[in-house]
Amino acid sequence: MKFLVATDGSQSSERALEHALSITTAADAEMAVVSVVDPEVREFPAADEPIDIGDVEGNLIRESIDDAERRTERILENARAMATAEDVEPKTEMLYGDPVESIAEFAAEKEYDGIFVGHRGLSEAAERVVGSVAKGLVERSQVPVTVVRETA
Amino acid sequence: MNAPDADLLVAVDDTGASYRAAEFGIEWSAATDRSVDIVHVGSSLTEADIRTWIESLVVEYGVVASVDVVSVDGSNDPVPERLGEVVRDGDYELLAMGNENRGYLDDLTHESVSNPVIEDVSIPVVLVP
Repeated sequence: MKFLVATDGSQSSERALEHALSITTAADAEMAVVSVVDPEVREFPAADEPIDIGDVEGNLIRESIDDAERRTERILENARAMATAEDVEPKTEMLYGDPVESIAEFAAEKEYDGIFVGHRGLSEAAERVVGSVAKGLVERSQVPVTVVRETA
Repeated sequence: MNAPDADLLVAVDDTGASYRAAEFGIEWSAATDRSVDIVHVGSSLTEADIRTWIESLVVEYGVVASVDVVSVDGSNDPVPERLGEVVRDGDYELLAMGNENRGYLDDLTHESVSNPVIEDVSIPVVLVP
C-alpha cells in the first residue's frame, strides 16, 4: 500500500501527517508528502483607513512564486524530518495549481491507496469564501480521504 | 450500548459507499492488526443483517480481521449527532464512513452526513468513495 499526505504546514496538516505515519508504520506501507505552491496574499497596514475597494486592493501584497516555492520547500523539509524521526522515508513533491485539483490528479495518476489531509474547521460562512481543500478532496478523490482536524 | 474497545469505527447505512467503507475497515484491520467496530446508524438493516454481511466480507477477503458489530439505541436525533455520540462514548482512533459523490443539485436537496460529522468529532475521519 502507499499513502499520500497533503500538507500546507498548518497544525491540522501536522496532525494528519502524524496520523498517516502511524498507519504507514503499522501497515508497512510507503508514503509520499505533497504541498501545493500557493502564493499567500497579505494585507499591510495603510496610513489611512481605506474608503473604497481600490484602497483595500492597494494594501494587499501577493507573495512571489519564488518566495512561495521556498516556503513550500520548508514545509516539505519539516514533514520529511517528522517522518524520518519515525523511521519512514517519504518521497516529497511540490505541486502547482488549484490545490484540490492538483492533489486529486497526482493521487490518481500515481495510484495512491489513500490521502491524508488536515482540516481547519472554518465557520460555514468562511468556508463559503475560501473553500476547504479537505472537503474538496473528499468530493474529487476516487480513493479514501482521511480528514484530520486541528485540536480544539 | 456497551462501551466499545476497538481502534476503528465504521459507520454504515444502506448506501453503496457504506459497503466500500466496510471493505475498507476489514482491509485496514488486516493490514494494521487493529480491531474494528461496525455501527449501523440511520439504516434499515438489522444488527443480524449487518453481522451476516460483515462475516461474508471477511470470508470473501480471506483476511483475519477483528470485527464487532455494535448498535445504537433508536433515536429521533439526526444521524450525525447520533454518530458523534457513539464516537465520543468509545475510545476510537479513527472513524470511517462512506461518501457518495453527488452532483450540485443533489447537494441542494440532500443533507450531507459526512460534513457535520467532520466538524463534530475530534478523531480523524476517513471518507470512502
